[in-house]
Amino acid sequence: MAVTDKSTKERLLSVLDDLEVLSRELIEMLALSRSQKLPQGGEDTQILELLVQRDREFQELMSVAQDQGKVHQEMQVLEKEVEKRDCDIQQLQKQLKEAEHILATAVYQAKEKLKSIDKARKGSISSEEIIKYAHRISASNAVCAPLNWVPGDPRRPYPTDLEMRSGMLGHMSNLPTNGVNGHLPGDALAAGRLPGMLLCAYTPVPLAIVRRLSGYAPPAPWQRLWAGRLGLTG
Amino acid sequence: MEVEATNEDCSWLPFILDIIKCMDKDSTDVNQELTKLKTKIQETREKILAMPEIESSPGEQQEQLKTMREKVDTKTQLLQKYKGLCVFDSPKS
Repeated sequence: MAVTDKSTKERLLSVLDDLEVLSRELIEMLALSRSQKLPQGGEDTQILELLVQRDREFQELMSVAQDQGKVHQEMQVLEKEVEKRDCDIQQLQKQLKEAEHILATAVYQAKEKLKSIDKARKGSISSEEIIKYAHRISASNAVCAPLNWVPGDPRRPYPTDLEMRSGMLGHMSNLPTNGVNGHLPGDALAAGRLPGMLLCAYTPVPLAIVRRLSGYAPPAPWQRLWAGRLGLTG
Repeated sequence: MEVEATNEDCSWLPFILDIIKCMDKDSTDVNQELTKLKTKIQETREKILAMPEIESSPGEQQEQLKTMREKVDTKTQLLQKYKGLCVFDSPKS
């Protein structure tokens, strides 16, 4: 059992050492017997038999080593195959990682989109309601001045201070609501104390901008400017 | 190193026989033959030490070969499985 556990190399070296020792002993014995002319006691025969036996063992082991050489070559080919497959597996792994990254990004974006869709559905408004609201905004002359507006008209496209104070919040806060020309006392517009130039320069700007923003363009050329600016009414 | 020697080349008996013949003839070539044998043994020893394929016994080597074959088969099957796998049905545009 111990012999089979030994590698072929160890066994070969062991047999070679034995062969060396036995051949040396045999030659020394033969030389001694010739020089002393003494009869050989049969020891040389024993050594010779051992030598032949070891030689046979050596030849068998060399044959085994030859077979192991062929197996070794096959194992080298298989090692190269294993290396090649390892490379392919690593390549696949790399591609898998890339695909995972792409899919993760796509899934995240899809989830975000679904969240947005859900949020939009929850806060959906009917088109009729939006159109109604648009009508209400337009009806208060917020986007376009009334056709009969003249300078001095207290109406504005925005809620004035007086109108704000006249509302529920103003009443709750008990704010003064006495005004002149629709504006609070102290207001230069209310007192008409603004110089004409400034008046002309001041009042047209907001409505002209509002008109431009709303896309309103009166048909007649003279109506494209403020009536107050050109001194025209109507 | 590949083992190229045949069984006949591995035998040491011809060398020993040559030495005995020289001794019988009382030839002066005995020392030369002895040196030749010694050199041959040393060379063979060095060749044996340099051979990588005999580091293990034949049984162990067969086990290693079997393991390596199984490894190659497993990796080949794995690669065929994953390369041939189609997880997604790609729509034809």
